[in-house]
Amino acid sequence: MPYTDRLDYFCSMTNNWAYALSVENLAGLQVPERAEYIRVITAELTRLLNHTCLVGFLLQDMGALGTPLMYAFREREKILDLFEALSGSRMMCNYMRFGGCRCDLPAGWLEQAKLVVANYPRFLDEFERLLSENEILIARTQGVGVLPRELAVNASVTGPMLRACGVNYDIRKVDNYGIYDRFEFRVPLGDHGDVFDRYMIRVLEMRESLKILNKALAEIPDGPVIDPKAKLRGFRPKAGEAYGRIEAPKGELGFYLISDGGPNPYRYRVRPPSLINLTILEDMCLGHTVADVVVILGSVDIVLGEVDR
Amino acid sequence: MIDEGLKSELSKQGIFTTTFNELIEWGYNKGRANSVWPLQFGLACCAIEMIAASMARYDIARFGSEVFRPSPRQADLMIVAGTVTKKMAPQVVRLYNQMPEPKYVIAMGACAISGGPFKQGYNVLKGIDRYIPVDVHIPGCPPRPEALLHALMTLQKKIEEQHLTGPQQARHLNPEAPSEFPVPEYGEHDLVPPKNEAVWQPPKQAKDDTQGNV
Repeated sequence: MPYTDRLDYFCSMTNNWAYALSVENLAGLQVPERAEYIRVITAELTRLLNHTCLVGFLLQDMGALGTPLMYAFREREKILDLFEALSGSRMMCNYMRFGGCRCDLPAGWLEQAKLVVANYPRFLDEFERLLSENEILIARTQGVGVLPRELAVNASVTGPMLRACGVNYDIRKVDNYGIYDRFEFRVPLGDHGDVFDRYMIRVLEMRESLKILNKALAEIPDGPVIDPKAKLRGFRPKAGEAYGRIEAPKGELGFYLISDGGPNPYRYRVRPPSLINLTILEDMCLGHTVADVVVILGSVDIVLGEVDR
Repeated sequence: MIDEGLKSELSKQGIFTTTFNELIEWGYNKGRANSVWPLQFGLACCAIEMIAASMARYDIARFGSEVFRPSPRQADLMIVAGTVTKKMAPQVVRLYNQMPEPKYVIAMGACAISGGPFKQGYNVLKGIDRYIPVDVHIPGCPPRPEALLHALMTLQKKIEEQHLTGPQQARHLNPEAPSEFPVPEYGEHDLVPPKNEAVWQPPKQAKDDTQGNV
């Protein structure tokens, strides 16, 4: 589990979840209700965090040195404070376990989280007012790095990249893993598949995440946070294979496991969204200037820890 | 030369005495310590915390180090932030060689110190201090931004204590001290050489520590 933190070091919570999910599929563990809610809350906070930072870095790549990134990191710190209170570490949370979560929420955490979520739309409005209609941003992004719909599907691009091309594919809706069927949220879709669409999709997804968060924070029930059958030490799932996938902020993150009944997996394969989304970079860049390559690369949203594991 | 007794007597009366050399040294070191420009490059997760340290909440600009330079020729400090893979190690050493003296290195995070959680990996260098001299090590995975700030303060203290002349002369003023280190090459199985003997030697194991004289 600690190694999954370091795959995509912005989103350690979702990485944990994907691995835990595939082991739970393999071993047939039941995740308690409260743990499912905690997972949804942390995953959506991670999505907020990732998309905020991504937009900051995208603007940094575009030449807006400092300011948007500074705003983004200001909000990131607030979310990281929550993660730190929860897991003891800012980035490498290592919080989820097979069959639940490591520990219950600390006292006052929910109120703190509600406060952060309640203040987030104000930040998003400010961010959008500064950026979304900015002339330079529009000039640099619209019509740049267009990814055709067929190519995106054929290259198995996932996540916001795919949805920016207009393909309605969100694993939260398709698989309904966890308890995502209880939440009402829309899947924003792009039309042109250019960098601007990808930027806009991320901003809209953050707003949808806030909806999920508001509902989850209000409805979270009491109860245990880990399956009593789960063993933290000496865990041996039965022989077999399983694939668990979730909608990580960057795309489909999957873990494919084969177990031979021993304490270690016989085969362990990660399907990283960053690497697969990156393979399409060349097709998007052809015909553009070198300065655009930086912007297109920024909009793909990669983390090198996940590309080159 | 003024003798020590008179000097301390005068300082009690509120008069400070100094030599010309000390004054120059003080000014030189203060100036350097408070504008350490780091080289802008990150290798893994720690780089994100390095960025966080330079952003609004932690604000590395308070210590005069907010000027992240994209070129090694303009940088004073190399923050090795993240896992140094064996593929990356020669480039890191080359970047260090291209920095002008005086130059300092902070090894940030468990990976840069020793390989960290990936120490058993075939492709990870077990500590950048095998090739270049490191001034400050920061443990943690990743270290908090405060830890980076603390390392920077430690480095500033170190710079302020350097001397222009005498036996404790700063390394960069000694023309015989090396300022460039050999860049490792990719060998058949591993980097060649696996470490720079002049910079790093494996810690000596005490042969007989039963009597307590280690």
